[in-house]
Amino acid sequence: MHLFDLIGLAVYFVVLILIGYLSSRRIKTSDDFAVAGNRITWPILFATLAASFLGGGASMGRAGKSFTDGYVFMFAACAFPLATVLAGLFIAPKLKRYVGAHTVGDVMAHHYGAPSRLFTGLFSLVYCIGILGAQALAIGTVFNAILGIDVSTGILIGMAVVVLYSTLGGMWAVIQTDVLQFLMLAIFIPITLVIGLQQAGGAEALIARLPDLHFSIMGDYSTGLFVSIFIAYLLGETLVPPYTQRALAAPDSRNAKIGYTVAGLFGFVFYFISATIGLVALVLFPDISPDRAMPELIRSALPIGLTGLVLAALLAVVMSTADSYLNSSAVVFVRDIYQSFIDPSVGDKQRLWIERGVTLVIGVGAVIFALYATSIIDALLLSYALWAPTVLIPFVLAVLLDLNCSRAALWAMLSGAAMTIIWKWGPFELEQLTGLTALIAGVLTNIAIFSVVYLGLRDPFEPPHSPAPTSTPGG
Amino acid sequence: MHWYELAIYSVSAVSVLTAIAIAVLAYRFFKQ
Repeated sequence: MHLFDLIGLAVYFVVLILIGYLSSRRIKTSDDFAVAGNRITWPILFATLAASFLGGGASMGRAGKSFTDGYVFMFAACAFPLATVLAGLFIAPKLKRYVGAHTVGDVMAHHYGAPSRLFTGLFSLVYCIGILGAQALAIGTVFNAILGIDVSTGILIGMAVVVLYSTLGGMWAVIQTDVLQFLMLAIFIPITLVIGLQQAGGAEALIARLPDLHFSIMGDYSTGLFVSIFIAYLLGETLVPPYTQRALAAPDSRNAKIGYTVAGLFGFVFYFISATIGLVALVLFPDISPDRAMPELIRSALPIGLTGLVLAALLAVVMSTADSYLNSSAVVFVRDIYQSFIDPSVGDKQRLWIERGVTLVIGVGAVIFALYATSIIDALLLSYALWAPTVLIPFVLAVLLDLNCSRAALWAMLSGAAMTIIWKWGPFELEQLTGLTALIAGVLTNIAIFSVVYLGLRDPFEPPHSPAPTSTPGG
Repeated sequence: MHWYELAIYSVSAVSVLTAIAIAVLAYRFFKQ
């Protein structure tokens, strides 16, 4: 890499740390640290949400999949932006009723009581740390693929920057760096595509040189496989803690709705760009490993000067996801576990410092896992399969239908988790026998148990478990 | 221009123009 590119990259890192330092001066309360004082308007919400959910999977992962399978995987995975648009239209505006809420656990506690909050909090924590560890590994991989330095050094450099600005500036630093990172990825990743397309000989050359199946909606996937991927993306990551936290950080329902919905729409745009980069890489470098499709295009096809900026954009993709999960881990721990079950009388100042301390500890822990114990990250990532079968359904039902039934939520979450674990890791290989994925089996169980317990065993006079939500302007 | 080329350029342009619009709106927000 040219010296000019390295200088550009160094400047980018310095700017991120500077944002963290400047943000630390405006963090005065836990509300500032967790939800940026509930002041982020829709353009900021849109940018920070898009930067958070467009991570390594949506960029390098999507390019790698289209390199091997064509557009089919992108079409199936478009279920995620679709779910985000639906959540933006129907869920996000209603979240602003929960005044003072910071986490999914806060909403669950209102409708279903303390046990559901504890379960949601623990599950959110494991989920966030797992994704954080995976993003730390992805940061190391990007450094390795483009600069050639070893993965461990890449993890240490990238995560040191993320942990520093997240600990100093909390949500304020995270949203400001996310906006910057959004601008980087939304400008330089498409530029990479356009330059790469020219080098490949244009779109007609792409069509002529690649198999027809690479351009078809279903590719060579069976209908069952396509539907399984579609449902996994529709439910697997929907309304997870950092995304919900962003909707809660909006000043009112209108801003939450517009920001969340537009972020979902932008997801379609970015998925198409990433997937097409995979096809361009297949024409230019047919012998590389699919995972290297995007980094290789950046490394080989771009002129000096631009390479450093696009590398920074690719790092921005993963770092902006890592910082969101790091901030959410700390907020979830303090809000749903420490404040709710260990020290309910904790003051606001003390809570802020605990959140900072936990951010630092979890950030360092994720680096250690990524460096020395990737099997722990693999184990934590198993929680990815459990979000939809446990928390998602009771959460959506509570927000949409205003249901209060602690028994139904608890039984639905526990049975959904048990069914998913048995289906996926049990002795009977049920996924192969039935053709149904564990996620679908878990979600169906969750819905069935919730319905049965709610209709048969609920106390019709069960009140909300925390002060009633109030309407906010625009709601 | 081939329709596929037009689609790629259009989507790329949407991404870049969105970023520019957000940059302006974000500047006004953080300036307050």
